[in-house]
Amino acid sequence: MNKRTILLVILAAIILARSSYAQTQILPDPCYSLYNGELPSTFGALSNASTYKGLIGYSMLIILSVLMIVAFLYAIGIAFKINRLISFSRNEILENVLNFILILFVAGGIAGIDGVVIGIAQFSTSAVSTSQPSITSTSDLYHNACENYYGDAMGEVGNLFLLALTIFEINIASSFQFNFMPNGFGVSLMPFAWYSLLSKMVGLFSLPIVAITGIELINVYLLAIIYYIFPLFLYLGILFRTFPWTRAIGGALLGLFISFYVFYPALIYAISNITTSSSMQAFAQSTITNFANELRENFLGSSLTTSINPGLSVSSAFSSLIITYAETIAGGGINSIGILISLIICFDLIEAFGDLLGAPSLTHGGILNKVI
Amino acid sequence: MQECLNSINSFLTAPYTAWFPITLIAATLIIVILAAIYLFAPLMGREDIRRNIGIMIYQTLFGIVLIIAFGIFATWVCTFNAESLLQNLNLILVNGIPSGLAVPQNANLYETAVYDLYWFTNYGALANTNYFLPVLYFVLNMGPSLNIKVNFIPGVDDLGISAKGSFNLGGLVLGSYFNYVIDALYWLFIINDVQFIIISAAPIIFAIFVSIGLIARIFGFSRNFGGSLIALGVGIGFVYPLMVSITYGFINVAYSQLKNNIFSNIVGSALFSSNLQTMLVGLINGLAVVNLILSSIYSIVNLAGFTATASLILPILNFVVVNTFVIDFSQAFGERLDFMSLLARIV
Repeated sequence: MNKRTILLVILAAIILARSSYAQTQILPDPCYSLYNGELPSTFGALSNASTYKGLIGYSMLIILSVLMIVAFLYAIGIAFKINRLISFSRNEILENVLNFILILFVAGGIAGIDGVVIGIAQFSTSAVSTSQPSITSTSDLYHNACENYYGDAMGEVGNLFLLALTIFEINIASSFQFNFMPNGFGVSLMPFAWYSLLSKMVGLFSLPIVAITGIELINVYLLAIIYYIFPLFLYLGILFRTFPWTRAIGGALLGLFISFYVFYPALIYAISNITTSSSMQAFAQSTITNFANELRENFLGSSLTTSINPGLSVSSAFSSLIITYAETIAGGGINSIGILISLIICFDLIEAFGDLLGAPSLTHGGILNKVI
Repeated sequence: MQECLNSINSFLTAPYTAWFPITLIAATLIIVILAAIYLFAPLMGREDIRRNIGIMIYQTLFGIVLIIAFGIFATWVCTFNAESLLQNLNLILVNGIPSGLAVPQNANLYETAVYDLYWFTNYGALANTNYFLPVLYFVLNMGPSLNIKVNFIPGVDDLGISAKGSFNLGGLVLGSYFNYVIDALYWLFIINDVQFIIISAAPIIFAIFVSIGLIARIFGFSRNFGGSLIALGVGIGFVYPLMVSITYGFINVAYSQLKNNIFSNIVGSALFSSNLQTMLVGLINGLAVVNLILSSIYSIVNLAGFTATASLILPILNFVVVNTFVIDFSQAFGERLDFMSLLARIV
């Protein structure tokens, strides 16, 4: 190998090492990629001048065409004296006026929606003393909510690692065996064999940790889907509302957009501020500790441990381990409950907006509740 | 595109289903008969019949308008260049396509929807999760085990202390975690394949249901039934492919971008944590291996989360929107049809 090749190899190694300098995180950070312009935004594409103006123009043309058809129907209604047709035509004229107002709302732009979303988030969090960064845009709001839940989900995965290590230690302890069997005859003693019971009990905590991780990760990517896809529902909703036969689905799409794009992240952000606050976490953990202590005194401390292994005072180690994991799960569980509360509120909001915008399928007893 | 047109055209024009002229002739005859009754009703002193006949004539005329509108709409759906529009909105993946797989150029709505679902299942998030998750499960189950045995007298096996432990993460807690996820993954494949079947059948469902619905709408006694069929046909044949194109198009584009973020840190964090010196130290003391394992697990957990969200939330969203459309559209045209509730009851 000549000197030039050696130099090239060293140079390549240095470049490779330096190029990876920024990659010091073990954890990937999808939230940064999702909300810092790395993903193409459909909302951005729809908001640019040509498409946006085109959409407004097409919407206006459709409204004009519908008005002409409605006028024709009105004439038929008058000619044949069909009261139903006359009232239908009058109603359509009013609906198209409402559509015109909705298009003006779109023309008000994303800035208006940003203002509403940020206002709701700031209002909701004003009641909670929080050290969260201030929200200045919709993407900020989504980004911060994403980071809250992503951080917690990955923390739960870290807890799984610790749980695995704990079980590993317990298994080693339980497998200790003293043999006094020279010539194959004698006594064999496993004094910590009952630790395997503890191992199984601690192992049960994996399921709730997995469930919490799943709910929080799904929420992280659900927020991204809402942020990028739901703005289309605003436009489709307005277009569908232009035609009388598709007005209900238009209202439903608008209801979905308002409830999930506008209210859901604001609620999630506000609730996550409450549930991840140190006071709330401390409260959840102290509640678990108190219950566990009562359990230990009444059951574990007296009956169970003494009956299984009366010679060993391991009840405190036994219960403290359980308490530690119960507290961990309580911390993550309270965040997951926040997600469920926000979803329930948003489903109720969809029903309310469905009523308001003439979408009967989204009213009480609607399909979303059935699906969930 | 041609297949789509063929499937609809053959249904419109085939001799055994020459319903288009028959329906128009039937509708014209119905209108003539109704017009005659309309004229003679005042002579019989029956103003109530006259009012009802007026509504019937209007409904029949509306039925003819709908038939013509359907013909125009079906042709438009099959020939409209949805691929170009979706590409302008960054809702179809065109970069990083492996050789041998072509992006559908100037494709219609059905072709883009099938392409998006096909990519998601065979090349995108679902395919990668299906590949990485079992590999990780296998690696974790190969974890090391620890055995210590101390004998009081060397050579005498059964006199002493022994302990053994298995650091087999896969067999313990993480194993159960990945077991749940792998179980869920196969359900996600089923959900995805159901969508694939529906999307593949969407053009013919559109043609058959809407055509039969339009025929049924001409006649007064089957008007409600016809309206429901039209709603179901348009819902599954147009709204559903539209939703799939939008949602899965976005997911494929988003995944192609996120994939780099999710996986690029694995080697970087393991080998090049800060600089060359740290890298060498990391390799020597084993930290690089620990980092490699941890970042692999975190990355695959992320990938599984992304795939689960896409595979669970998007079908629900798509079906909810289609069902909402069908409920509202069927109410406007005929009887209220809530097919998801019906299916839920059956399930």
